Amino acid sequence: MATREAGKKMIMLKSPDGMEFEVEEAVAMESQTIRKMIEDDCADTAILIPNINSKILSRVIEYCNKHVPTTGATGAAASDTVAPAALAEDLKIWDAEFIKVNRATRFDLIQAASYLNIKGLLDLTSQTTIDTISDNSLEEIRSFLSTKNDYLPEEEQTIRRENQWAFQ
Amino acid sequence: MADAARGATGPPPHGSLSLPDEITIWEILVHLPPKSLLRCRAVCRAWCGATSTRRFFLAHHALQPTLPLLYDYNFVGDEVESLDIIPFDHALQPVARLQQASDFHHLEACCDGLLVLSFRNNWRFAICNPATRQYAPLPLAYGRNGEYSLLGIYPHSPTGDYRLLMYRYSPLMHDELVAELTVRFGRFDESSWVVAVPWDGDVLLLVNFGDWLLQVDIEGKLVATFHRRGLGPANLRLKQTLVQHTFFPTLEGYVANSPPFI
Repeated sequence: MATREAGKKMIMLKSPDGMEFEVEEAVAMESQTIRKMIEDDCADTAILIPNINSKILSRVIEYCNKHVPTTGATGAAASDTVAPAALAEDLKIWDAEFIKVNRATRFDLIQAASYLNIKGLLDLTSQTTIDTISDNSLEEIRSFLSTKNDYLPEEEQTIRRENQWAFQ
Repeated sequence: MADAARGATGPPPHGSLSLPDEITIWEILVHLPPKSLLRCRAVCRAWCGATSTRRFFLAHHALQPTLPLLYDYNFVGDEVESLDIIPFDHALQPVARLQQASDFHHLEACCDGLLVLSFRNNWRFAICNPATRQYAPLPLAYGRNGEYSLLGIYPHSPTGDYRLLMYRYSPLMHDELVAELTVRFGRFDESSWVVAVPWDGDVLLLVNFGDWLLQVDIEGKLVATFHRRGLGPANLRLKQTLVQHTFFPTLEGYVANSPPFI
């Protein structure tokens, strides 16, 4: 396994389009999926992350780099000098910038976060979709998620009638 | 090389403007408030089927926020036409509306998405689930002079029953906060409510002054004001559930999805 200065353990992540990303093990382990592989000793040289292209994977790594806990040997200085509340506020602002992406990228990030099991990233990326579905009409929801209405008109009427109060 | 795909199904190709059903259902729909979720059943068959299982209901309930509760009388002229049940989340959107609740007394207790209400008529209680719109009167009286009050409802695990805990009434203590707020918002009505509930890692203090509902912090400093006639706080927090409680149909007078739900 590769090592860098200060003896930090490094991990190689590979995207299916052939890009390689060298990241600190602690950063990679923000993903519970990768953490499990490392703990089970399945991550000998490099980990292929299937179906997550380099563009999305680099954004995921960017997120994990920002969110990896700064306590302990790697970031003692940062947590000693900055109040936790200020750090949390800084993260919130950073998250808000991070999520300013188009819908296709956001959907890719949701899928990547779900597959890699990164709870914070999943919460962040899915919230806008949850809000959109909460607030919009059925037609808008279908078009937003490219979902086809496979009900017969009378079936849809029945479902609507059963849940009529939800449409008021 | 370790391959993370071993045996598992990874996400489909990128750049699409849709999500796999599995993710839509278990990462998106499961987070929706009950009303939005029920509406979404009309989107397509797959969503309807997947969101109608007990497994989904339990997962959904676990993710619902527990929110302090408010109630709100809806007036037509001076007549109370209906009663709204509203979780305190700054949008103040009702989750349920009960018709002709003019003898409504108070929101008494709350547990597992169930809500116990009291009514002045015959000093009776009723139980409902706002999310499934199930409602039933309870064969219990709190007494003409309110000699008995309800402390709470709780699941009794040895039997699987839900039980109500009653206690003898004693007059409420006056709060020193009142004098200071009276100066700004008028007279404190004897029948008004001061409610304190744990909320968001702190305590939420709500004070009812005439047509005002005031939110104050622990120092007595005003945090927010809501000006709406008939709006009042309840000392409860609701975590909504679509899980079907099996006792409802066993209660006499049980109804679902019909009046008094509007």
